[in-house]
Amino acid sequence: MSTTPWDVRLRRVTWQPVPSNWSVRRRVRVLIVLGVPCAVWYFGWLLNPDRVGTPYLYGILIAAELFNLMQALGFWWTVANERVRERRAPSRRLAVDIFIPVYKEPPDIVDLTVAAAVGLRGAEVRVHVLDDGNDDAMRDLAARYGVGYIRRPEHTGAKAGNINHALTRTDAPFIAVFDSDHVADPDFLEATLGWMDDPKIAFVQTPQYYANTEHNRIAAASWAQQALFFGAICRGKDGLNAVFCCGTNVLFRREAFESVGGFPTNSLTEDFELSIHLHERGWSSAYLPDVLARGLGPEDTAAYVSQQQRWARGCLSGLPRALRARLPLRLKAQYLLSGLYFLSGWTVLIYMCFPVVRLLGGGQPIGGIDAPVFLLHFVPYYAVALTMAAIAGAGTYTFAAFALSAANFWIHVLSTIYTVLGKKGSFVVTPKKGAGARQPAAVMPALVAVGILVAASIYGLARNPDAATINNVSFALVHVSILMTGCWAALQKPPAPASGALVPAEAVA
Amino acid sequence: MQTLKPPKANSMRTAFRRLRGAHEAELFGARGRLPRRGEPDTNRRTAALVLAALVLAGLGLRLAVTRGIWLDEAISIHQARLPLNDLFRTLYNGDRQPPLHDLVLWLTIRAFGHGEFAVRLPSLIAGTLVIPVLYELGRELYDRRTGLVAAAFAAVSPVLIWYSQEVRMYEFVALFGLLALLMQLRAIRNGTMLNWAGYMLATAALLWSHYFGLILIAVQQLIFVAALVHRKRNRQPVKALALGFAYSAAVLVMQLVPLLVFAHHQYQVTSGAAGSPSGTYDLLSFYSVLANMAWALWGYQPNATTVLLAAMWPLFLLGSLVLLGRGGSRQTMGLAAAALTLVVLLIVVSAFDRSLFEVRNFLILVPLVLLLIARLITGWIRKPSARLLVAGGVALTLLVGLADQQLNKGNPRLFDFRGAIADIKADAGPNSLVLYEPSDMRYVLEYYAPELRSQPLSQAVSAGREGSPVFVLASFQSNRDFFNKTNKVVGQLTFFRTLVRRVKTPQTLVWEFR
Repeated sequence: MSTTPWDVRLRRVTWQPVPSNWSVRRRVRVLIVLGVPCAVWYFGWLLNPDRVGTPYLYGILIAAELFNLMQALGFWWTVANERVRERRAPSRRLAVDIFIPVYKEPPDIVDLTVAAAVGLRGAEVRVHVLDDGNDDAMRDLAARYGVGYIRRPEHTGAKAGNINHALTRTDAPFIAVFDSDHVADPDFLEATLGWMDDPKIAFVQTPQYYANTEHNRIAAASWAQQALFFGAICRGKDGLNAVFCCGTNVLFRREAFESVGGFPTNSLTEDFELSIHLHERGWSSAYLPDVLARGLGPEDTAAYVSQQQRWARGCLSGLPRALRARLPLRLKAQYLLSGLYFLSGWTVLIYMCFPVVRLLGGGQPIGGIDAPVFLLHFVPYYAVALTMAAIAGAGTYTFAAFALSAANFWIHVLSTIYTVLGKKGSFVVTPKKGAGARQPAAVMPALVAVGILVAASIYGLARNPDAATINNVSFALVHVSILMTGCWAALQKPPAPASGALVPAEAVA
Repeated sequence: MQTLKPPKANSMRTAFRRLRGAHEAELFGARGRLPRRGEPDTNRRTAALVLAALVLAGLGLRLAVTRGIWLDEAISIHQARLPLNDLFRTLYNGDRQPPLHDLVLWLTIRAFGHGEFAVRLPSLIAGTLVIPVLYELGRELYDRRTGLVAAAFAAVSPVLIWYSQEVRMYEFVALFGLLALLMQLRAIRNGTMLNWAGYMLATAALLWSHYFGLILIAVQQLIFVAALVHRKRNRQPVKALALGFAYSAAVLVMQLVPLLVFAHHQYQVTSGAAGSPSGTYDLLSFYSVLANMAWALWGYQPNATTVLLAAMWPLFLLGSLVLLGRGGSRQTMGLAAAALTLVVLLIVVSAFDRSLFEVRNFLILVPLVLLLIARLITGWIRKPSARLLVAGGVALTLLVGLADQQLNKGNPRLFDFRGAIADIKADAGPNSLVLYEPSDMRYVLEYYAPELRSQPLSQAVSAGREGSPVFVLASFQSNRDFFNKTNKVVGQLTFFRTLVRRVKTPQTLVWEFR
């Protein structure tokens, strides 16, 4: 009996992109009817000048709360407009170029990706490995599968430049792009190509599913974040015709691609900016909520941080472009909402600062009120917002996902500063395998925050252990618990990487 | 080669099960299922031994009473010492409770006398029985392990122990409420005549113990409706369950008619009277909700401690975030929904009479919350050692709360009338007079010092009493009316007589004048 581990990308998909027995849209709309009055109730109370405690802290609190309100309302609006597309088979036989851009990824990971691409049905498939790493092993791999191999002399523009270069060497009317670790289902084209019968559709995006979540905390938490996005959010964006391209598991129309000159090469999130260009030109986009390819999520904290840094810097630097874009207000708002999400780390930082300032003897943002009065106004809004996340995520959005995001608040802070300063970032490919070691350095900012919160709590308790101190220590404890949950995986020795050697093709579920 | 034979299908049994609509994996899932781990459950013998130890420990803690009889208890004892006819007449014309507890107390006093231990016996037995019944509910819903953890929490739960030592009906509500839920669950799952009979008896006992029992019974009707809808959707047989439900509802309505007539008269007669001085909060506020939640878990603590516990409310935010993506079994969701509905209904009821929002009036919630906590521990924590550690930690906090509740004189529910009266008795002569406030203190005096002459503060002190010792026994001085009355009389006595001494016991004051 073989002891070779099964490649996790061939295992059964454990995520259901669309809840089978209930409508998210209907439940969310009911919750919005409850949530909007709750938000008015809370903010009507909070914005009353009588609430001002220490003025500068109050101002910061209001800024953070209004930002969160904007994100919450945007989220509710998006998910309330969900559209669930079905698979649509092509009406005629078409040619499709399959692009697999690679850059120094391990060949054993790319091997299965190429094998799966070769097996795609429903079209005349022309697979190309776009090697930006000058890796002979990739050339051999391409040769072994009898697929195209494109290596360019100059490696400018990272993944975007690589794909743009390949566009000049190929000619099929449709192009599917898969990241080097994404194993396509044989029926990927049979499910998506039919949507291209609509000549206005520029691309059909499908979920970026992580298959390595079972034994890896980071991948699992990272996937839980992705699941909310590729679940309710993308379905909602589709309902608003505002789906943006996510760079992998996507089918393009060459004509659309060429109409905007291919991928923009001056962005870290070339897919985000490409989508703005396409929508500006009047193209529309589609989202098919069906797992048609399985990839690998970041397997350690450093990989996660690298991925999030790239997304944050790319989306934040794309904000001016989104603001300037000649787009309908609805579309512009959707792009802004997606980009502004990467400022949310600031609110985590702000909320962490409040108990520290109070415990060290400083002021507090809201003054002259009892906790019960605050809770009376805040709890209904908070409860609806949390329930909305739980319902929209259909149970996939977990505390671990929230904690991982919160513990990496500093990425958003740093990315904002770099973006404002105009510091250029470089495109870093997310590592496909874990480092296999503890990575405290990757979570050092969060650990420093934990240290400050603990020290402030001890100081506050030693100074005056009254109810106000206990209340602020409790807040600090909440932050410490969240941060430590988010950091925990980096402080533990990670499990062995999940991807493995090839297994027989019939194992594909 | 030895082969295993498949078990013989008992066609009659299967047919009966179908007829009753029973199915292991329906509404509340299969009994003894640990869906996340498939880990073997605690074996039956170990569970029985641990449960027996827990019951004994729980009984021991409940027997260690550290306080005397207080006002409400004294009223119940007074009523139960009357002839049966007078007991009902007094209840009918001057109280706001159904008669079951007083009836049981009446029988107990006839059998064992009216000593402190004897009058507390019904509550003690009910409070001790809560432990195995909660175990059984935990086992029925989840597994033996969860049942045992919940039973361990119940054994040391400060507030359950407090009311196991009180001559009132609250522990009856906890016991009969749990029994009603257990029997309902079995009636839904198995549907035997015995289950339905048990359910109807338990709900009847609950209903005749406390009017708030009706709130739990209302929630139970919703559970029946949910079970019927669920079966209908899954195309499972509903006829047997619907019949049982209809029959039990009819029995319930038959009881409600006389009970509501009884209650209506009670409320009409007592509505003009001053409210009970025993309410802790006059306002239904977030603070009273938080304070009652803290009391429900860690028992009655001094106000300063309660304020500190309530200040920890941000931890609830953490709790709500931790629940994200947890899902939860149908059992847990059902139990949590039932508990939450109970709280909402209690808040609605308390909105009409705000002093009603007190942990004693929703004591049934305490074991349900303990069961939910037990399930969180057994369902979420995979390592047995970690599970034991967390369960032990929770039990330890309960024990600390218990010690503080029982021993701290700052407990807001501690009224040391026994100590105050003993002090009066030590100095009282044959012509002594005890003036008391509030007027219901007469029942406490009747219990502890029937030989003493006494009268409420509102009555004038006759001239003939001059020269003999006069004691003023006052309590509930946080109540403005009682305080003003006491202040006035004590002021007058200070003017005409000599104040010999002033004694203070928990929430009770005694002035001695000569």
